[in-house]
Amino acid sequence: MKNSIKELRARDGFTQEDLAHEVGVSRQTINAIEKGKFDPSLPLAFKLAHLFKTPIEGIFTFED
Amino acid sequence: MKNNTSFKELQHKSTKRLALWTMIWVLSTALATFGPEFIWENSLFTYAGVGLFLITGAAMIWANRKYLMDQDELQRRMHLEAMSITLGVAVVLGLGLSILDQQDLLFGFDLDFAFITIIISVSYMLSLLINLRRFK
Repeated sequence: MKNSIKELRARDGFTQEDLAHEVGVSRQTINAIEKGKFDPSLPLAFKLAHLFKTPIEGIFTFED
Repeated sequence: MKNNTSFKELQHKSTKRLALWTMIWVLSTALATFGPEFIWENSLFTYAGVGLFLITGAAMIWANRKYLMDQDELQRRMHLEAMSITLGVAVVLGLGLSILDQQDLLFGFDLDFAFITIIISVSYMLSLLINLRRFK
């Protein structure tokens, strides 16, 4: 799954630490999601979408 | 949704709790092991020592479970993978060594449960370290 968290984070001026702070996970988890090494759970994806005021499909793109 | 400070605090608290109970359990293990040899002679004290060992062990297991539940989803996944590898390694290697031990083919080495404990610890630590690097 591809995602645009890095771009959205830059848009809103968040560091990885800030974003982790906002959604209640570790900075390592945010980094792994950004790099596409880890796909977040649905609740975490919703938290990110809510924070960036973007629909989930605006952040995550499914790839076969 | 500003909950990461509490997430970090929660993790810090869980780690401290686990470290504390592990330390208490190690001390109770030492007491139950060396007490009958160096401190007392009455076997009632040995029963009490083993009872204390079991109670502190149960507290350590509870603290470990709480620690795992307080991790985030990626950290839980890393621990879960490390646990599954460790379980497999302990069963396969433990049984393999046990078969060799039954046939006296361990070159004079006497297989002890402590050895399996070391295998479990090393396997868990290595698996976790590999996962930490993998998701870095």
